[in-house]
Amino acid sequence: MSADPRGPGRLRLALLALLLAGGAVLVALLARSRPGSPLEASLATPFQLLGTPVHLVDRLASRAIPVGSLQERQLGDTFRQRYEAQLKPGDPNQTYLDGLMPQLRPHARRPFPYRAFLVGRCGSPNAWALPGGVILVSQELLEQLGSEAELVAVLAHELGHIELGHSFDAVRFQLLARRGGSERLGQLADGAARLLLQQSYSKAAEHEADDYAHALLLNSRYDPGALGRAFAALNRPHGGWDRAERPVDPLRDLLRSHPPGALRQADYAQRAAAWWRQHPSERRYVGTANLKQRQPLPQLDLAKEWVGGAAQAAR
Amino acid sequence: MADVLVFLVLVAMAGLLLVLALAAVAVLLGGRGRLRQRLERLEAQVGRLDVRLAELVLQLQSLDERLDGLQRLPSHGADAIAAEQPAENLPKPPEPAPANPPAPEPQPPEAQNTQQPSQAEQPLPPRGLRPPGATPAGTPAPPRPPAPTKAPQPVAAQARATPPGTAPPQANRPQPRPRSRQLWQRMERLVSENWTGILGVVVVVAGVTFAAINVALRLDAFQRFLLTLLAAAALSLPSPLIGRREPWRNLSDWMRSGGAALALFACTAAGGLPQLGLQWIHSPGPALALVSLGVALNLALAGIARTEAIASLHVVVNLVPLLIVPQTGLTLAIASAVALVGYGLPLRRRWNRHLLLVTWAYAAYHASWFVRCQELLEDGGQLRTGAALAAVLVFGGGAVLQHRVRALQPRLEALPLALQLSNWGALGLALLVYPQQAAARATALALAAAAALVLGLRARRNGQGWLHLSDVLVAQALALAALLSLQPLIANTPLLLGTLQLECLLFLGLGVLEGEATIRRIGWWLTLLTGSALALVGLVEAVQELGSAVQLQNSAVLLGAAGLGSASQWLLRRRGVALPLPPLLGWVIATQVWVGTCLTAPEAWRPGLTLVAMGGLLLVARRHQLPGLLAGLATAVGLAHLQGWFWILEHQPWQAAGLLHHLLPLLVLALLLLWNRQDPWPRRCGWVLVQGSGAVLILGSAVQALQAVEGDRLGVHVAVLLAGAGFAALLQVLLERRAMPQPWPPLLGWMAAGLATSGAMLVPQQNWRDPVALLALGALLGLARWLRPAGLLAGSATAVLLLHGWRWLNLLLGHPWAAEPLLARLLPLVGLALALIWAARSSSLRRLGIDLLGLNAGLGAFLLFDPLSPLIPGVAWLVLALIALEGANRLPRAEALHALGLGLGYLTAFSGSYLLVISQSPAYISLGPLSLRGRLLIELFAIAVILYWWFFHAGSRLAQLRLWRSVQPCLLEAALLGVGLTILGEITVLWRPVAWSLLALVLLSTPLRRLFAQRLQVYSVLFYWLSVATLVAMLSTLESPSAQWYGQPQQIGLVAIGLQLAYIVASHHRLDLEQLRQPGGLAPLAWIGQRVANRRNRWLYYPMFAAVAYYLALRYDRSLLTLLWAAEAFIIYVLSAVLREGQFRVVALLGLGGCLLRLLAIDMAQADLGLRGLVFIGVGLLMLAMNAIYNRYRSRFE
Repeated sequence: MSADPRGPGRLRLALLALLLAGGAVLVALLARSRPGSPLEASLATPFQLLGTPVHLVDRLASRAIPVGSLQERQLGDTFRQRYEAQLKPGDPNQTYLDGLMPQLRPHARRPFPYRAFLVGRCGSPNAWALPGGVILVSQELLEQLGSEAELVAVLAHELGHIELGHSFDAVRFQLLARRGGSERLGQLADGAARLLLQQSYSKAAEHEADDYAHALLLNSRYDPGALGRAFAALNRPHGGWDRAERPVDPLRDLLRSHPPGALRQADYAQRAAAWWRQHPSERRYVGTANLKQRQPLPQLDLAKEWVGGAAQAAR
Repeated sequence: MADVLVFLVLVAMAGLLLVLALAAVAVLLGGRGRLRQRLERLEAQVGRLDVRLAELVLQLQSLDERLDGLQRLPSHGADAIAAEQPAENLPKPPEPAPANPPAPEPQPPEAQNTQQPSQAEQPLPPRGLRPPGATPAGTPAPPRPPAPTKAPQPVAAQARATPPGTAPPQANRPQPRPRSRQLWQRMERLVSENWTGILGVVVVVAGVTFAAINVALRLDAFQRFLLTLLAAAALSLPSPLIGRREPWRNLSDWMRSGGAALALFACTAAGGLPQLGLQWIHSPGPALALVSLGVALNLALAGIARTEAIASLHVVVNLVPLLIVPQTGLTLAIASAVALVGYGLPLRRRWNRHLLLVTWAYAAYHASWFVRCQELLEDGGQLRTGAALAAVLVFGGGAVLQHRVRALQPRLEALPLALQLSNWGALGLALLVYPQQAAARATALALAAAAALVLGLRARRNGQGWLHLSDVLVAQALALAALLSLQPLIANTPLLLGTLQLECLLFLGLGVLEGEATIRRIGWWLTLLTGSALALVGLVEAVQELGSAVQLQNSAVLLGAAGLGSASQWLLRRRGVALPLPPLLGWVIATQVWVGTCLTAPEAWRPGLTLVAMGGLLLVARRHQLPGLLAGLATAVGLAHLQGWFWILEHQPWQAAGLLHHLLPLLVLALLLLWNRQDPWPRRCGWVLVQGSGAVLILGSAVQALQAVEGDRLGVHVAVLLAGAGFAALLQVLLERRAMPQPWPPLLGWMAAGLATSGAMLVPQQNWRDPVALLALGALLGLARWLRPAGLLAGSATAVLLLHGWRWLNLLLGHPWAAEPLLARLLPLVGLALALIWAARSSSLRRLGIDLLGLNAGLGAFLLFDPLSPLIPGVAWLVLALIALEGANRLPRAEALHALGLGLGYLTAFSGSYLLVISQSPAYISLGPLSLRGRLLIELFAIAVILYWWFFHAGSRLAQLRLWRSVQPCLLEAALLGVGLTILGEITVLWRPVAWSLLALVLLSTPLRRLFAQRLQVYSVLFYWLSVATLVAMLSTLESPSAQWYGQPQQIGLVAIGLQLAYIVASHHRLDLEQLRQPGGLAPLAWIGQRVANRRNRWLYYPMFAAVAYYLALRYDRSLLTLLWAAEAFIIYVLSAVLREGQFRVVALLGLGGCLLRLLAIDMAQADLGLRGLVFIGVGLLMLAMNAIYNRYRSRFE
C-alpha cells in the first residue's frame, strides 16, 4: 500500500480490482450452484461453537470427581441385569440388535460389554445411552429407519455418548454419594436410568456424538451417508423441516438440547457426499433388506446392497 | 461410679494435655519471636565475623606480599621456600605482584575504627582498605573465584575470591537477606525441629477427647446433671479462694460467672431440653422451680457484680431458659420481674449499656412470647391486659427512669438516646398490639403521647435539651399512631389524611411557637408528607371511580386541604419563618388542586372547574408570589392537557364537534400560559403544550393508519392535519414577527412537515399516496432550498427518512421479490435520497442522503440475491464494504465519515449474516475436480476484505476521522477473529489444538510481525495458551473410533505437544521482550505483554506444567499419580536449573510436598503393597536425584 499523496496507489487499485473481481466470481459461483442453508436463520451453530469450550470445561471438571470406569462398569452391569430380565426369549428384533453390536464393539476403546436392548414402544423413534455400555432402542426406531446402515449410525451415535462419557458424567455425583454408603447400587441405577432417559445432553455433546458416529461409519463397511439419512428419518415424524417455517429465535437456539435436525441432516449428508467424491472406488453396504428381514450383515450379505462410486457422490 | 471416675480422670487428662498443648503453642509462639531475635543476632555476629575475617585475610595477604618483596630483594632462595608451601593452605597471591608497593594513603574512617593495625603494619596498610578510586595502575587482576563444584571452601577461600587490590572490605559485608528467604529457611528448620512434636501432642489430645466423649455417653441424665453442676462449682471455686488477689480478680470473676451460667444451663436442661441428655425432671412445676433457683442465683451474682458486663450477662442469661420453656403468663411475669430487677440493680450507678442490654433482651423475649402465645392471647383479655401492663411497667418504667435526677445527662450520648428510643418504641408497639378495640388503642396511645409530651416539657424545664427533643418527637409519633389507629372508625381515608395534615400543621405551629428549629423542620416535612399522601390517596380514589357523592366529598377535602395549605403558606411567608425548600408546599397544593379537579363528577363539569380553580389559583399565585405555587400550577395545567390528549386519542375517528369541545379549552389554557412575558416557566409550558397538541394529532393519525381504518372515515383526520400544518406555519410566522422567545424555534417547522406528511400518508387512495408524498416532500425540499424557514429542511429530511423506513418495511414484509417489481420500488427511494443530497447543499443533511443511498444499496443487495442463495448477500455486502471504503477515501471529511460508517455497517451486516446463515451451511461448491465448502470460500474472502481494510492507506481526510483511527487498528483483531472462527468452523475438535499451535507459531514469525504488527506476538502467546487448554480438554475427554492415525486423539495430541514444545523453543529466540512490553493495540494486550515479558518462562511453562499435571490426573491410573506428579516436579526442578528460574524450584518443591502428603494420606491407604513400594521408591529416587542435582549445580540454584 503505497502512500501516494496524489491519489490511490496502483497496487491498491489492483488489489481492489482483484478483490472486487474475486467477489464477483464468488457471487457468480454461488449463484450458479445456489447453495442453501438448512434453516432460514439460526444461531444454533454459533451457540454450538461457543458452547463447545464450556462443555469441555464442564466435562473436565466432572472428570475430576474420583469415580472411574470401574464404577461405571458396575453400574452398567446393574443396568444390564435389569434389561436382560425384561427381554422376551427369541425376539427377532433383539436377536437382530445382538447381531449388530459385534460389528461396533471393535471400535470402542472403553472396557464395557456393549449391548443394545429393545425396550418396546415408547411413542417416538428414539435411542438412549446408559453408562457402562448399555444402549436402549425403541421399537419405533426400527420401524422408522430405512436400512441397517442407518440403524448402525444411530447405534454408533449412542455408542459415542458412552465412549465420550456423556452419560456417565450425569451420574458421577450420585456414584460419589454412593461411596459413602448412603445409597444402594440398585436404587442408584433406578435413579440414574430415570435421569438419563428424561434429560438431554447439550448441543456440543450431541455434535460430538454425531462426529463419533460419522467417524465410526467411515471406518466400517457401511455407507457413511446413512447418518444423514437416519437424521432425515428421525425428522420425518416431526414434519420434516422447512426454511420458511423457522424464524430466528436466539433464545430457542441457545436453550435447545440438540442441534436442529435439519442442520445435522444436511451437515452429514454433505460430508458423506464429499467422502464419496474423494473415494469413488469404494463400495459400502446399505442393508435395506437386512433391516426388513432383521438379519445383520454377517448373516445376510446381498450384492445389491453394496453401493458406491459416482452414484453415491451424485446422491 | 467406676465410669464416673474414669470419666473424671479422662477429663483431667484431657484438660492437662490441653493446657500442655496450649502452653506448648504459647511457648512456640513466644519462642518464635525469641528464636527470630536470636537468629538475627547470630546472623549479625556472623556478618561481623565475616568482615573481620576478610580484613584479617587481607592483612595476611599484605604481609605475604611484603614478605615476598623482602625475599626477592636479597636473594631468590625464598622462592623455593614459598614453593614448598601447600597452595590450598595459603591465600592465593595476586598475579603479578607489584614491583613497588604503593605509598600509604589515608584510610576511610570505618576502616580506621574497625581495623586498628599494629605498629608494624602501619607503614603499609592493606590494599583492600583503600578506596576503589585509589587503585594504582599496576594493580593485578582479581583472582577467579573458586569453582562451585569443589568441596565446601573454608572462610579463607572465600576471602581469596575477593580482589585484594580493588574491592574494599565493605564490599564483602554480607547483604541482608530477603525476608521471604529467611522465612523459607526458618520454616524448614521449624518443621524439622518443632512441628512434629506439636502435631503429636495435638493428635494425643484429640484421641483422649474422643475417649472422654465416648465414656460420657454411658452416664445417665442425673449423673450428667450432677457432673455439670460439679463443673460449675469447680469453675466458681477460684473466686472465694484467690479472687481477692488483684492479679486473679478479673479471671476469677469471669470464671464464677461462667459457673453460674453453666448451673443455670444445667437447671434448664434438667427440666426441658431432652436433646442434651440432661433431663431428669418431667413435670413442669419442679422444672420451673429449678429454673427459678438458677435465675435467683444469677440475679444474686448480678447484684454483687463489680463490672457492668458481668451484671448484664447475669441478667440477660436469665431470660434464655425462660425462652426455652413453654410460655405462659407466669413466664412473662418472671421475665418482667427479672427485667425490673435488672433495671434496679444499677440504681446507684450510671450503667447505660447494662440498661440497654436488659431492655433489648426483654424486648426480644417479649416479642417471642407474643408470637408464641397467640392462641392464649386470642382467648384471654386478662392476659392481654397483663401483658400490656408488664410492657408499661418495664418499658414505661425504663423511660421514666431516664428522668430521675441521678440519670440526667446534659449532653446527648448514644447509649441514653438508644435506651430512651428503645423503651418508647417498645411501649408504643405493645400499646398497638395488645388493645383489641380501636378506641382503646387510640386512647392508650394518646395517653402515652401526652405522658411523653409532659415528660418532654419537664425535661425542657430541667435543661435537658436532648431529652426534651426526643420525648416531644416520641409524643408526635405516638399521636400520629393514635390518629392512624382510628382508621377503622373513619371510613374515608382522605378525611383521615386531612386530619393528619391538620395535626402536623399544629405540630409545626408548636415548633414555631417554641422556637425549636428541629421540631419546626420535622413538622414542616410531616406536613409535606401528609399533604402528598393526601394527594396520592385522592389520585388512587380517582382511579377507582367511586360514586359521585364520594368523589365530590374527596374533591372538597382536597380542595379544602389545598386552601388550608395556601393559607398556612401565606402565614408562614408573612411571619418570615425559615423553612427548608419552601416551594415544596406550593407543589403539594398544586397537586392537590389537580387531583381535586380530577375527582369532580360528573365529567362534564371538569373543564369548567379546571379553568376556574386553576385559573383562580394562578392569579393568586402571581399576585402574592407564593413560592412554588406558580410552577406547580403550570405543571398541573400540563397534566390537564395530558388528560385531554388521552381523551382525543381514545375517541377516534374524530368528530369535529367533540374534538373542538375538548381541544379548544386546552389550547386556551396553553395560550394563557404562553402569553406571559414575565415568567419564562409558564411561557415555556404553554409553548410545549401547543407543540404537544400537534404531536397528539400526528400520533392519533398514525394510530389510525396502523389500525387500517377505512379511508373514507379519515377525512376529518386529513383535514385536521393539513389545517394543523397551516396553523403551525402561521403561528411560526407570527411568533417570529413578534419576536416572541421560543425554547426551540425550528420545532414548529418540524411540526408543519410532520403534519403535512401525516396527512399525505392518510390519503385514502393507495395509488395516490406515493405520488402525493413524493410531491409534497419534494415541494417542501424545494421550499427549504429556496426560502430556508427554520426547521423546514430538517423536518422534510426527517419525513424522507420516515418514508424510507416505511417503504423498506413494506419491501421486507413482501420478501421475496422478483427483480422487476423490486427495482420499481427501490428506484423512487434512490431518487428521493438523491433529491435530499441536492437540496441539502453542503449542510449536514447531505450525509443523511448518503446514508439513505447506501442503505438502499445494502437492502437492495439482500432483496435481490437472497432468493438465489442466502449465502450471496453476505458476499455482496463485503463487496459494498470495499466500494464504501474507496468512496470514503474520496469524499470530503464529513461525508467520508458516513461513507465509512456505511462500510462498517456492511461489514457488520456480513457478520450477522455469517452468524445466522452462512455458518450453518455445509454446502460444497465444485470447481472442476476440486470440491470446497462454500462457507470456507466466503470466510477466506471475508478475511481478505478485512485485511484490505487493515492495509488501506487512508488519505488525509479519511485519516483525520476519529472513527477510522479508532476502528482501523482493530481490524487486525477482526481478521484474527475471522481466522479463529474459520478454524472453529472448519476444523474438527480433535485437530484444533494443532491448529491453534500452528497459528501461534505462525504469529511468532518475525517477517509476519513486521508486515502486520508487533502485537501479533501477544496473540501468539494467547493462541499458545488456547492450544494447551484445548489439548488438555481433547486428550482428557475425547475418544475416537477411527483407525487412522489422524483420527486418534493420542497421535494428534503428540503432534500438538510437539508443536507446543517447538513454540516454547522458538519463543526463546523470536519473542522480542522489549516489543512485547509495548505491543500497541488494545490496552489489555500491553497488560498481558508486560507480564509475559517480565516472566516469560513462567507464562509459557506454567500452562504446560498445569496441563500436564491435569492430564496425568485424568488419563492415568490414580495409584500411579503420585509417582507421575513427582516425576513432573523433578522435570520442573531440572528446568529451574537449566533456565535459572528460581520460582520453578519453589514450585517443584511445593509439588513434591504435595506428593509427599498424597503419599501419606492416600497411597498409604489405597495402593497395594507392590504398587505402594514402587511409588515410594520412585518418589524417593526422584528426591535423591533432585538432591544430587542441587549439590552438583548449586550455583545455578542461587
